[in-house]
Amino acid sequence: MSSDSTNTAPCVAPWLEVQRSAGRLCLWLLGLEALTGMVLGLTYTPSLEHAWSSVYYIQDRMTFGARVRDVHRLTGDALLLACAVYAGLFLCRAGTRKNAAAKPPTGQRPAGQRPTGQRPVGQRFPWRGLVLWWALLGIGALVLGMEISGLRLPWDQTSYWALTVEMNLARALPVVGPFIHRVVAGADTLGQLALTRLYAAHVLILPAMAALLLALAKKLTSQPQAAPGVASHEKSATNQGTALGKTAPFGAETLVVLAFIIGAILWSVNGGAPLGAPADPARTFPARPEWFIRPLYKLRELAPPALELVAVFVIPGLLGAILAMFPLVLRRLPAHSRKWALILGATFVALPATLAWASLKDDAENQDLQVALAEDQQRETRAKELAHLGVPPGGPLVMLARDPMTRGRELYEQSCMGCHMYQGRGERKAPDIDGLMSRGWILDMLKDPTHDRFFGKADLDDDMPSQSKLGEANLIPIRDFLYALGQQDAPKFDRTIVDNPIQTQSAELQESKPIHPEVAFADVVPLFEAKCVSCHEWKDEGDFLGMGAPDLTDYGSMAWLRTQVLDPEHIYGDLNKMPAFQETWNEQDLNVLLQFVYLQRYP
Amino acid sequence: MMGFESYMDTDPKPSSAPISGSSPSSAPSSTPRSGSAGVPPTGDPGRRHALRVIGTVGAGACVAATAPWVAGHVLAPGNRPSSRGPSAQNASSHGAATSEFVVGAAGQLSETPLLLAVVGDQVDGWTRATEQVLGHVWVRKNNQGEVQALNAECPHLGCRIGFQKQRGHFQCPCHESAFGLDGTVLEGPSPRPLDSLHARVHGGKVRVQFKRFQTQTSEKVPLGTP
Ligand code: FES
Repeated sequence: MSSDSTNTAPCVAPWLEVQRSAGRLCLWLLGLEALTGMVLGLTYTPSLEHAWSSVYYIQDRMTFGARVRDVHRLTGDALLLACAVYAGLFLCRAGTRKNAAAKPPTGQRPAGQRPTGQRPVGQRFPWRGLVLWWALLGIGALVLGMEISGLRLPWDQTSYWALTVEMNLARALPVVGPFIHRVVAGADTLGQLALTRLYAAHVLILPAMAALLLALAKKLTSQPQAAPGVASHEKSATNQGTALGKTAPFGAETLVVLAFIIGAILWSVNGGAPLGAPADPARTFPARPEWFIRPLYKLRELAPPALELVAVFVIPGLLGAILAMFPLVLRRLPAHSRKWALILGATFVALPATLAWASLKDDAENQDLQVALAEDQQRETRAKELAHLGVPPGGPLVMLARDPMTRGRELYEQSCMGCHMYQGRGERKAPDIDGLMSRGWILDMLKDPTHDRFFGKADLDDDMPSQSKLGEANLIPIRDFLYALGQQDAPKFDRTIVDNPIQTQSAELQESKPIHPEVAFADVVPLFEAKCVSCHEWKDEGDFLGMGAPDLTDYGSMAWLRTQVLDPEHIYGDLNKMPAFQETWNEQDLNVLLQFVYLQRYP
Repeated sequence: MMGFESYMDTDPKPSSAPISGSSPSSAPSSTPRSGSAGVPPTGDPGRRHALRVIGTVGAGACVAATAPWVAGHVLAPGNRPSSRGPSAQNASSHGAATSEFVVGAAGQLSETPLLLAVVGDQVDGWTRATEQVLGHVWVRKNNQGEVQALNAECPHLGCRIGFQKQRGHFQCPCHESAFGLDGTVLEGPSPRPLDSLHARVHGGKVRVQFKRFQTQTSEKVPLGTP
């Protein structure tokens, strides 16, 4: 290479320096990836149960864990860009050189002897240079592969659904598709094998291949072919490190750029390496690829459905092939048109960028998408709150499936929202869920049972009259007694629920003493019996007036709620308007739903 | 390759002249031995180079030809019969006779589609678990009272289909495919309607013959293993 800088146009030399710096930067970034990757590897665990949880642990508990992850993640992006810059400079230099040699690394040919256009007679085809270029492209492809596989490892919604789409696309390829899918995913369903394989590819297979190619590239640049008239040891001295900056691995300018990159990453930590809600095949999620695949995403959208695979595989494949052959093309071109070829090439960089930008803009304007993302954000927040207290061995999905505020709420939205309102959502054909059976709720209900919050919209045949006339002096003891009835079988919520910030912590939640309301409130029972039991059923008695008012036995307890949901007629008799939800849920779901409702009593 | 190359470069004895190069795969290994067979002391670098190329290409071709086959068998344990054990009936989504799943109670159904989970045994690599969610179905009663079940996996590229209550149609969040209540494609890139599944009500329960299908095809191609 130095033969270039000395023998040919001096304008080449600064570019050579820039290219060397870019090469060094790539190596430094690769090293940084390896280093941070090792740190993350101390904790990350590639299993469906532990992947998300271990990443969360890295973020949440590990010293500098979040920072290390940010650096690892964003250095990957920076590396991709640096590789692209390096490749661009490589081609630029190949294109702007004045001598006949096609590519920089083959610069051992006597410079300036021949105009471009035809290969000099007796001169050998510069395989070495071409192979070097391919090796570099291969390294770039491997970096891309590491980036993609790495981004799937957290196994959150984003990574899971992106992987789903990618693997389905791969499977759609003719002939090789099913094979690729089988090799990468290991099975038809994306599960443990897929994750293990991605991990193996990310930390072992791809880096090993990249290391091999790097070694090959180094060999190609440091051992030039013997060329007529030039002693080979001279060559190896002058040519060393042209491509990869081996001569000066500590180039100051490279270190400055590197420091700048790391600084920028650390400074803009927020969202550097996001972790979404845990992957859940059951939940709708808008799959979107990362920025460097965005152009393909948009291209697919623009293509007619029949040509999707062409857009996604053939076009990038062709571009890759053109890129691989670009040095040859440049070599064939006369000097003055090389510049134009390079300018043309540069416009190809602008095109994907435009596509990606258009796609991101579409998404920002897509209302449905924003709503879906907001919902998932809620789930993410909740999952992290729970995970902060420890994830059960079954994994984050088990954790969420046991959480009343997640699963219970979800079940409410599936089946109850049509009649019961909660936090302003849902219809009002029955009492609201908010604060149901809490002390305040009971008192307000006694005072004004036909308020819309309570039974106003329930359209009952007989409405309960307001009990305000009893006065607070009577209502409050009655309220406390009714409330205590519900406390009899209060479930022992585990720590994860007690500590949950969505549902304010309440000391009562931790009360585990058995409650005997009729003993504790012995003085209230006569009042209760006098005022309530004349209309309401109570322990197989009551309703002396024949009003058919709801049964108050164990009012508001888990058992009462269960009956209310599975067999409401048992409580409401002829007044009942609520459907019976027998066999709608399995035992676990039913329990979680009842707990969700029960938790409302702790406002 | 690099080692090979440097060996050839530094070999003081020219070696390859008599080799015809017609048998690519044997060329590299036979080169050194044949060097003693009365060859002129200076080899022809062009020919040596050609041999090297041919040898490399030949060896590469052999590897390339067998690698997929080997890799396919080594890397895809899902392909081996042992992974479908005798008790995998419910886990195996293509065993037609045994793939009927109870997904819910008949009382829940209405004309508005309801998303129900298909729960059964699942084999994932070396694990077998009971009561796993194998997939989801959208179930509704049409106006003739027939039960209709659609696999909630998008036929385009496999995202989970949602239902848009206000607009009264199914919608995929990934590439905006929209489907009518009966599963027909209203818009978007989906190559076929939502996959309808055989469903019936028996003993008050909704039973669905759950299957998954390959995405991106215009016909329904059932997937092999669960
Ligand atoms: S996956 Fe449903 S439209 Fe693409």
